[in-house]
Amino acid sequence: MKDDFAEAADPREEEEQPAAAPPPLAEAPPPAESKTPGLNSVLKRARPVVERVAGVTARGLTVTGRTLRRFFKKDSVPNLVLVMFLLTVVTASCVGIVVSVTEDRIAEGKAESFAEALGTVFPGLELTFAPSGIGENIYEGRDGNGQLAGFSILVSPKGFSGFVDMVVGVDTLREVTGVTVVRHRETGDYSAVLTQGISEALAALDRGLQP
Amino acid sequence: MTLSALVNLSLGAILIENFVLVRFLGVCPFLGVSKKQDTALGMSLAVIFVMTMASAAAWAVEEFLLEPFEIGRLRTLAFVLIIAALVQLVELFMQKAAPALHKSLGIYLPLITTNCAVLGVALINSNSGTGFIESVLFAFMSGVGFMVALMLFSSIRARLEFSEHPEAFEGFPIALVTAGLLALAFMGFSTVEI
Amino acid sequence: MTQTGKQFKNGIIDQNPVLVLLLGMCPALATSSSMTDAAGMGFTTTAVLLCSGFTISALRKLIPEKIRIAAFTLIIAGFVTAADFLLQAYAPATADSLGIFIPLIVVNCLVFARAEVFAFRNGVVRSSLDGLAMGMGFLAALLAIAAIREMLSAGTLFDFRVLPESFPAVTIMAQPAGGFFAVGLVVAAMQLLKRKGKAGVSV
Repeated sequence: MKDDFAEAADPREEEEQPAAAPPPLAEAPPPAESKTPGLNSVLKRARPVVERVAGVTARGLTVTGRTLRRFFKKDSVPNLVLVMFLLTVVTASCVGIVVSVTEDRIAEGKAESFAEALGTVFPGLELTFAPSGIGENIYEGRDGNGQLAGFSILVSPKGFSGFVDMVVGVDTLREVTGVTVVRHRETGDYSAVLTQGISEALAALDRGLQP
Repeated sequence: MTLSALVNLSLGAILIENFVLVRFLGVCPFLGVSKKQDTALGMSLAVIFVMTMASAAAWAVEEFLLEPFEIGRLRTLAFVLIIAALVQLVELFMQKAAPALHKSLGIYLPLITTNCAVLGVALINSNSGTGFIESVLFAFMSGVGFMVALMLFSSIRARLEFSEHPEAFEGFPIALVTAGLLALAFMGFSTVEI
Repeated sequence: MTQTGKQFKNGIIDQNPVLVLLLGMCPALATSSSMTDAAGMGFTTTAVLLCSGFTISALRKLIPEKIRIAAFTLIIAGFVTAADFLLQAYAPATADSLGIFIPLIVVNCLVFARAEVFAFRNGVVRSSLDGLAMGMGFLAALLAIAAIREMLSAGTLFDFRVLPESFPAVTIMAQPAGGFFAVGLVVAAMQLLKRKGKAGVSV
């Protein structure tokens, strides 16, 4: 590499060489044609600088490492505490970063599937849902013209293995249009729970509609 | 908690949704420790203890740390560390109080940390949002279910030594098939109503 | 065979985590009822194995022996939590069907075992490859089990109908009991293959 430098920087150096130097070759082969001559020369010039910086950094890290080691011996208690502390901080921050990146996406997805679930109990209708004022889990569905089509009510009756989350759709004639089970952990036949859910939903609606 | 609710919970945890044979939690030690019946008993008691204590601690952490500060994202991390610490404690205690049992359990005792059942029950409790007593009772009963399955299995496995089976099935495969038959038997409980 | 090739053969066949080392049984049984679930679980576990192998190997000189288990727990739990949230955001259907078995990857004996036995004592590149190889083996095992279960219980593979409609559906295979049977079958097949491979030499 030093020779490259010599050739590029000082073509006359050959003539100034001490007499003891071996005679130059009759015809030194020209350097290979470079496709990016500009980039090559930049890299050539940058290399020693980079090497020097890297050397200094490595030496600095080693010295820091050795000093730290003198205070925090590998198996000593302060070192254990330090490593655990650092690891915890780094892990928690990394997890925090991932969570903040994905939070919005997760919330969006949940809202979408929620709206979808509310709509499944009114098959064939395109409704938009909004919280009605009459009950916590009662959502009113309005069609394209703003007309009230019915209510989607969320209930969670107790089954055998925990709660069964379901949506019950009731139209303006107090007829049940559909029931969708959102989450359940039942094994086997749980139709009794569905019936109970429907009656709970109707009861909640009646309570809400009371003047 | 009413008696019927308690019975409901217990039967659900022990039979209808047995942790090992229905939910597939705790299968590694189930297969690993079931060769001898006394180790199986010691192991299941240790697991019941860790499951109950871990659920109690996990509930407290969820209630007083994770929820108020909204750091539910660290739930897995926190629960696993609690379980690891508890298992260390149990191990230390057992070394002093029951050294023979500690020796016979060998490596399977620290392996309770990686028992899916312990972390699983803590996560199930936090997902279902039940109160303290119900969570701890559920954990205890699930542990009992684990013990029931493990004791049944180890007594069958003792007889497997003398059974005739194809060579390819020697060792674990025949144990797995047997566990499958046990799971089949437990399926009979799936439609039990209280 | 190159060393990398050897590592992969080791992970997928010689020391297949589920079928030979018998680690990671819980997720193998629970998520193998359908091939899409099995694939989801396999890939997620592979990702965790890869990342934790890399990280633990990179930090191995800094982690004192005494607290290595706690350190492994922290690192693996961090990656599992990240995987959990990423799945919930970008593959909510998979996250839903895998349920609590995603956070349970933390206590998958496989991940811990590889960290302790390999990643803590080997270089970064080797450890990452080991994580990848073991993960591929895990995935392969899960897919093999799921293929049997899904094909027999629903006649489909990845929800594509493979067997004719007239084939009787062995629904037990989708149930827990079937899970045990299927895993037992595949492990037996593996043991048979290994015996034949060592023909003449007693196992």
